Amino acid sequence: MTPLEFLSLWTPVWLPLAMAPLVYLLRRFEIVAALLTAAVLLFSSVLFWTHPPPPATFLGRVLVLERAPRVLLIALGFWMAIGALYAARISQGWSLFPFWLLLFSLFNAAFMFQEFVMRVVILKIAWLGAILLVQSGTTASTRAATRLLIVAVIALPPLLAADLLATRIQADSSLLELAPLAGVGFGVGFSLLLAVVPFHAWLPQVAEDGPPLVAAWFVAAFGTAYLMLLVELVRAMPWLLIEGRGLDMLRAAGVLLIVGGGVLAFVETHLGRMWAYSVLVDTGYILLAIRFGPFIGMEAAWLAIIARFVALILSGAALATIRHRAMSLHLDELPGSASRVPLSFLGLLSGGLSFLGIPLSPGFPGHWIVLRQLFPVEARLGGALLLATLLGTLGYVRALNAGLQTAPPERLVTIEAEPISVTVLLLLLVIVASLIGLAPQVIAPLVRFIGMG
Amino acid sequence: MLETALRFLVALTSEQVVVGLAITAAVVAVAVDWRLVLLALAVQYFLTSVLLNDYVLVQIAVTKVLVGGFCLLVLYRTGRRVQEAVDALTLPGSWVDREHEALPISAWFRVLALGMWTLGIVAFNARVQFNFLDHRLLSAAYWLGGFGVLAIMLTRNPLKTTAALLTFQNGFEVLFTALEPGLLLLGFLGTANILTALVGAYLTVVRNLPYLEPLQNVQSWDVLSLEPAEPARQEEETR
Repeated sequence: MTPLEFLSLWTPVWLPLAMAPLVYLLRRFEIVAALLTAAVLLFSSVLFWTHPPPPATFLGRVLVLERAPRVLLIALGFWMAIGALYAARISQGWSLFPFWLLLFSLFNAAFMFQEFVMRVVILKIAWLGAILLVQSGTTASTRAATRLLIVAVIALPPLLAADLLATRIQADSSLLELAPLAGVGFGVGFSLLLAVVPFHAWLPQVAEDGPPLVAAWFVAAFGTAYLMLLVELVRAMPWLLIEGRGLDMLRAAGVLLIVGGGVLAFVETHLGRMWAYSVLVDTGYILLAIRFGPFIGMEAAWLAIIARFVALILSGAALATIRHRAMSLHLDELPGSASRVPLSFLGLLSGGLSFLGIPLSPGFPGHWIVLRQLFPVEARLGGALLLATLLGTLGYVRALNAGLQTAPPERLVTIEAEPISVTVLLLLLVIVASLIGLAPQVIAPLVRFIGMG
Repeated sequence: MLETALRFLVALTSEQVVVGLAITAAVVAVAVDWRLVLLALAVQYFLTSVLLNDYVLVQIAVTKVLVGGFCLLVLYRTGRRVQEAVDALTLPGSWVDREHEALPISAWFRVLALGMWTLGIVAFNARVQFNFLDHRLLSAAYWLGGFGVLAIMLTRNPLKTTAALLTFQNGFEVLFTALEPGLLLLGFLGTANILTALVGAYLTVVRNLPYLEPLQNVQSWDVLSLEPAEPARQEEETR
């Protein structure tokens, strides 16, 4: 393959990276930068669909884009394109557009490699770059960014060490007694990166300190990428589930996330943090789904992950609008905001309740499959999870109640209504989310497509 | 003098290097002064390279020093800039004292924590060994990783947190480089280390903007000798 052929076949990988400097120069003209970013991301995504890069080798390592990562990159490209269009109107930090292009290229590169170690190291580099987006030039607090930095560095060694150990066990079955150690390594690494309780503190902090859309993107991009790595790991090394105590760890993590997330969302008084806790509940259901094995479990996991993508862009955009217009996400400062930005509240509820798996929301089918599998064998646990989910829902009811309360006229005047473009975007996303909630079978072919890989 | 120091370091046995690494990591964990922390980190990078020299190609071992040198350069320049900006405010106390106020842990507590942590690492080191791993590398990894975690817990200063994270990462890389000396992977790990230092430096600057902002043009070194603006001084006095 000549260099020119390589470049033409690998356009979706390098194009976002090549366009990032241009977008950086245009960042002051937000509309232009946003449109260019969205166009590049959409173009790359379409190319991934129509002309996926062919297998190649790079410094002795095989580069192939498999089916599930391909779907992730396409979905992420579309997600970020919509987010870029939204951020043109409701700013999420001046560096968002060039950084998104840069980070999208890093994601592409990470999933081209087949080895787990290469993927996690490149994703760590992307994570470090994303920290700057979370800080986004604000000086109020560096807590979220510092926590992200710590998590990025601390999580990598256990993952790489566990992979090294697991590879040796895979090659030499006499080392199988070390499987629990590999399981612990993977468990600690993924717990940190997926914000499993009690390692969850970074996610609510990012939702509080960072721009809301960036927080949503963080979960959509990194959360999904690490969940995908986990799924592929379980598929490639199924012994990790039994000998590596993976089943126990997935169960514990899932339960902790659902119970912890639900309870914390109920008592939370900051809308961003409440949103983050409801995301934790969703992650818990996905981990429980993975535990249920390769057929029903994986189907439920992919259903939940796809629904989560839609819910994240919807709730992230809605949350960003509320913060931009009401100037705060503290519940005691929200009175009157629901009447001024009603569509944003609708979007937040639609997305937030999807994380909790409320019926008719996009997240319901995936959660329902998990509960249906769980109840016949562990009815009490299923009841506890339902109760925690209900508490999380009550948290959103509290938020809506706070927004619907009357506010003094002088306060109402300060809350501007949503811009037309944001209204249209939110409305479209609410319609898409409602369609998936009403007819989840529309995403079934996509789930089967990923599953066949 | 430098040549003598280098000769001394190169002549050390692997066991002595491991002890040296443990001492440098302990200094990173308990020291408060950022210059001392960075000096310990510099020695640590060099010792890491000396240790790895017995297990991998010398070029790969030297790469560690180069990456560490770049990280230290970034952190030193940032630390000096903030220190000079704080000094320019001509208020009592230094930057170190101000950071210490954010998480007031006494020297005795830090030393006590270090002692308990040392006992924990010694016990762990004695119990958890693997046949397929060199015990010296494993010991070095335990000391660096363990004290790196302790250092993270004992500080809120982003600069020192970054030094602690690099210590932790060093501990892992001592082991990983010897087992998986793939050049591409090492290149990515080096990039990740440099990015860690850059992000840490950025967070240090952001956290200390109240000191840096009063200076009219923070890009220029000359402004460090100027008097701060009045509102910033008032804010500082309120703090």
